[in-house]
Amino acid sequence: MKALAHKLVEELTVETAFTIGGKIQIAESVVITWVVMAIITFLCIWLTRNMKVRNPGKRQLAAECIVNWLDSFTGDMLGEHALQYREYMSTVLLFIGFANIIGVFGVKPPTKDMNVTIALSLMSIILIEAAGIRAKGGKGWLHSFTEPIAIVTPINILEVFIRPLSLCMRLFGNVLGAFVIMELIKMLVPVGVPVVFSLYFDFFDGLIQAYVFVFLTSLFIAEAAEPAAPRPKKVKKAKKKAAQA
Amino acid sequence: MLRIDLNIVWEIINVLILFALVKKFLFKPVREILKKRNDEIEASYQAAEKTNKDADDLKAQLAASASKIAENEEKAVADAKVKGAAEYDRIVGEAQSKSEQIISEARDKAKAVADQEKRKAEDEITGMVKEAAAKIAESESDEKLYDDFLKEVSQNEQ
Repeated sequence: MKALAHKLVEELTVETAFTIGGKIQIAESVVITWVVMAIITFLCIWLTRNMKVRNPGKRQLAAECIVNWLDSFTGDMLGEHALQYREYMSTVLLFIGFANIIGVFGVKPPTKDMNVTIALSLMSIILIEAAGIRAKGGKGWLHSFTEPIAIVTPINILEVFIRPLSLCMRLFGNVLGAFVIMELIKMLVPVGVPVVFSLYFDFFDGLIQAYVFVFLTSLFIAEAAEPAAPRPKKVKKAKKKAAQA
Repeated sequence: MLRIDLNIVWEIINVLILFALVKKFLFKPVREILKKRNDEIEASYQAAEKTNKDADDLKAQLAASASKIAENEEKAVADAKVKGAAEYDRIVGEAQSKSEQIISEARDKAKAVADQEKRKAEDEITGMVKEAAAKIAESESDEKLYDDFLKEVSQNEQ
């Protein structure tokens, strides 16, 4: 039992793949991320090679299909005001999807490392707030913290930290949990059974988590990118001006 | 087990690079090709519309020229009819005048012949009267004269 626990802990630790200059430690997850990047990039290049305007081949049709699906999938969640973030959300979807599935091949999924999920959620919150600033302007963005009523302002400010934290922890926790269970199953029954469970924990749960991460980030961006509602004060002023005229 | 360090930065860089790669190798080429195809479809639609319009124009032109031709035909037929009628009138008129002329000429000739005949008869009568008168003058008696005259007349009648 002790040996089992020891082995499990060993599996769970994020090891350093290599160090640069004796100081900079490059974690395993980063190296696996490179692999995932290579796979995705290779697939993209392979799919979009020799594209023709007329009589597209099967590969090109697949590429067009994938792009259209990604566009509509992320576009629906982002809404009409934030369509320019479709490509980033699609990339994140592909990355998390592939990163979670790669566990099937006996590799530790990068999303099991909290560094990766922190990085992703940090980028998400930066994108969400940037979308808010771009859509409403600096003043409008600041003002959006007091909406719908001024008393919720502290909660709105807290949300800036809660949102990425929840995104990060949800992805990390799910993938880690799935990984732990899969490791346990593999240790107990090395043959046959892990295949069935892997279908659920790696494919189903992995894709679900990718979807949830992208879905939530997209919703937050859509919310942030909504054009600012006309403020009541300005309306009153305009009415006064109209009355004076 | 939990490890939070500088790898966050590497991961952010990784995702940004992946974003650039996916954008460059998947979205850009596919969008370009889709746009090209849309443009081509649009262009072919426009070309088809133009061709249709040209065909319609041509059709209208043809119809106009056909109606013009029909009009000309009708006009030509009407002209020919008018001309034909005029010619008919002219020929009939000519024939009429000619026949009138012939008739009048014949009448004149007949009259001349009749006159000649009349004159001949008159001359004869005159000659007979003269002869009778001479005979009367010659003869002694009236009775003989009458007899002679009657004899002569009967001879002439025979």
